[in-house]
Amino acid sequence: MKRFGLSLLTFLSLLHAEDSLDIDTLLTDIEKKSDLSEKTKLENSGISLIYTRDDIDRMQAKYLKDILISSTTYGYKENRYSAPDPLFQGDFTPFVSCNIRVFIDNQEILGGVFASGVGNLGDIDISFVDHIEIYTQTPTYEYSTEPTFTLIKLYTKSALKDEGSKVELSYASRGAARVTTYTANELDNDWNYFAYVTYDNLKREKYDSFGTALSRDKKRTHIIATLQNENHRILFENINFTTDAFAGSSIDATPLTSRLEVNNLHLGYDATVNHFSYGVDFDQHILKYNFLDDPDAYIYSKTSKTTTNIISADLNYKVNFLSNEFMVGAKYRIKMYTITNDTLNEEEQPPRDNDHQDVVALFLQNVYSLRENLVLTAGLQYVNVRNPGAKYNDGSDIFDYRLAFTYVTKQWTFKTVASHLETYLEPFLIDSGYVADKDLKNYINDFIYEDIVYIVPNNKFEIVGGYLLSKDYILPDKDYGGKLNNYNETIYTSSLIFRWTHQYRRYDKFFMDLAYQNIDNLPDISSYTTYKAVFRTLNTFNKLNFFNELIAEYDSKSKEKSYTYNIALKYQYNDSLSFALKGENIFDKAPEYGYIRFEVTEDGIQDLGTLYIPSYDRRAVVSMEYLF
Amino acid sequence: MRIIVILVASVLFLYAGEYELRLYEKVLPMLYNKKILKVFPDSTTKQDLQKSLSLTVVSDCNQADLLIGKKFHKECSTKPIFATSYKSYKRYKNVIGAFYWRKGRPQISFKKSNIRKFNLQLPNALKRYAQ
Repeated sequence: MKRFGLSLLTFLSLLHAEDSLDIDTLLTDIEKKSDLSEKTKLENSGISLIYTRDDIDRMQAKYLKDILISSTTYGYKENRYSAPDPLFQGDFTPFVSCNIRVFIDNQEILGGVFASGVGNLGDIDISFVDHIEIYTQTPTYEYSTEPTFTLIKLYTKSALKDEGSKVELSYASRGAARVTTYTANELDNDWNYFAYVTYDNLKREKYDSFGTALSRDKKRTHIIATLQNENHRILFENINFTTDAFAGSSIDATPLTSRLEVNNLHLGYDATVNHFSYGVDFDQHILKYNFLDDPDAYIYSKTSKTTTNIISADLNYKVNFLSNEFMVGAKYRIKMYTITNDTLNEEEQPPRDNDHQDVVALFLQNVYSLRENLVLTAGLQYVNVRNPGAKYNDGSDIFDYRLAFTYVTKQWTFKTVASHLETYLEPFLIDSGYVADKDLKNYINDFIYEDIVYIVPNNKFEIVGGYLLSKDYILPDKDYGGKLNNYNETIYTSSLIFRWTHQYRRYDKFFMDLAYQNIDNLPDISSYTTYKAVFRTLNTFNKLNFFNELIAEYDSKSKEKSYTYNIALKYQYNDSLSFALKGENIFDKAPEYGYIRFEVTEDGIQDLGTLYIPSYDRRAVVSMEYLF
Repeated sequence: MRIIVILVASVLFLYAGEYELRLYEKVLPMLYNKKILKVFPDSTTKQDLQKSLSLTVVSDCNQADLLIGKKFHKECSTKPIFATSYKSYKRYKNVIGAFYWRKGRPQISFKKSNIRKFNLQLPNALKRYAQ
């Protein structure tokens, strides 16, 4: 029997010996298939979608929105202030995507009083990113200090793979231009650093609203620096931009001036030592808003400067015993904010009594292996949130929980996730004019999802089916003058996603994502159905890389069909120099999202009709990369 | 029979994913003109190299034909080293070659002078990676 085994081994070895791969091919294989997400992805942590370094490079995804547009869960939307806000529904709420959280490596990047960093990072340049992981449906509590429905993790490049320097120049339609540079190096004592700077002059399409050209032009400087070794990491990030804030506070979408200046700074440290992981972060967000409209407008002027300082700390302990991987953690966050130069229609606004929010979170999580391929995950998180001095909504206690069951065979994975998630008001809504003058309940998402994955050589098939109950959802309420209030009915959302990834040649890949979602019991519409299909191919021919992507969408409300078609070509001249050309939304048929418009007259409120604008412009981009 | 299944599975698994290991297995025995090489890994390469069939991991560096990794003690410094980072490729006197990532791409290099010093032979297929 031993002889048979050895013969078989020899035969297999010969098979591989005969495999006439040359060294260059092997190096190309390593480049295209070595995927750091294999090391970082969070097993048993919700439903994940991973964009590898090779995907991002070949898609020529220069901004996070280039990735988010094809997300079948949300897509990419910008709100009335031109900020990325994937859950935006067209109303006057400044920001609604609070429980979509963005991390760089293991540190959350916050967005001041809005809490979520997606408003600043949703359209951020991503040339600093190695790979991206998107987790939906309440991921692990390990990273969620606060209620998190979707977790976007951007992993930075490092000297591990990117030692050396790079300069990237790009020029796009309407005179948009961008310069990116980074350098990465190993130091003598096992530490390594990565330093990255991008300057962006984003020139966007302008849209007419009753004779006013609405602009979303933005000038942004983005700096990232990391210093890390195997167990410790220091991360610094600064995003500084000025942007034309689209319609802004203008209720009829005709501002004379609507301008935002933002400076977002993050400094954090995180470490993993033996069974412990811990971190301390400081985030500062300064937002200046300057708005002017016609003197007879309902809101004709508005100014404010909001400064938010946030300190976060967390400590987690993980231990393995018998068939358990048990984790316990404690987190604390304080969000301190001040609003100065706060005027509305040239009148100074009274200061709010509440000037900070405290969040304490404690969690337990256990991954129990019933068998080698059968895993049960259970987690419980207690969150205490306090808004001292607030007239309404001064705090609450929350118990969130999740239960996941994963069964894996050689080809199949079955994952069932059930979860209960409560979400509270972020500081920008506490005692603000956007919320009804009353105590609101936390809104609740209860859901169950089934994720089935089937893998055979060169093919991966995935079906995700979900059912979500949203209770006490916070929506504009006509009975309260359009201010936010709990919606008394339960909203039912059912969804089904089918994904297929097909590797049809060594470096050629096809990806398909078909999604159906139905929402029942919304306030103004009994049933709302959306369909989305994503088709993507990535091809390599010698020194040429091709990318094609078609995103087709239809929704039962607008009954409009939309098609976003993106195409890209990259020519690798040599190891150091490459040239690229990309066309985004080239048929100019990207989905348009509604922005409601009203006029307040002596006779009351008059509906001026909804303005439909795409969040993803048609544009061409040429770029060049030089590595040295 | 169970051993065979495990071995076959490990061979298939090995060649399905561990491309870096595959590169070491293809290149390093060619330098020594041997089918099986005794290697001494550092902590960063040990786990991967233990999966190899043509590279045998030894626990004493003095018994090894070659050291593979980024960092080694001084007592092993007389042995030839195949470095797995650009920094260690530049740092050690006895480096015969290296695999490392630089400028976002995997690269392989060999040092002609040290290849000669250790009486090794650089096959024609690898000569264009020599410095």
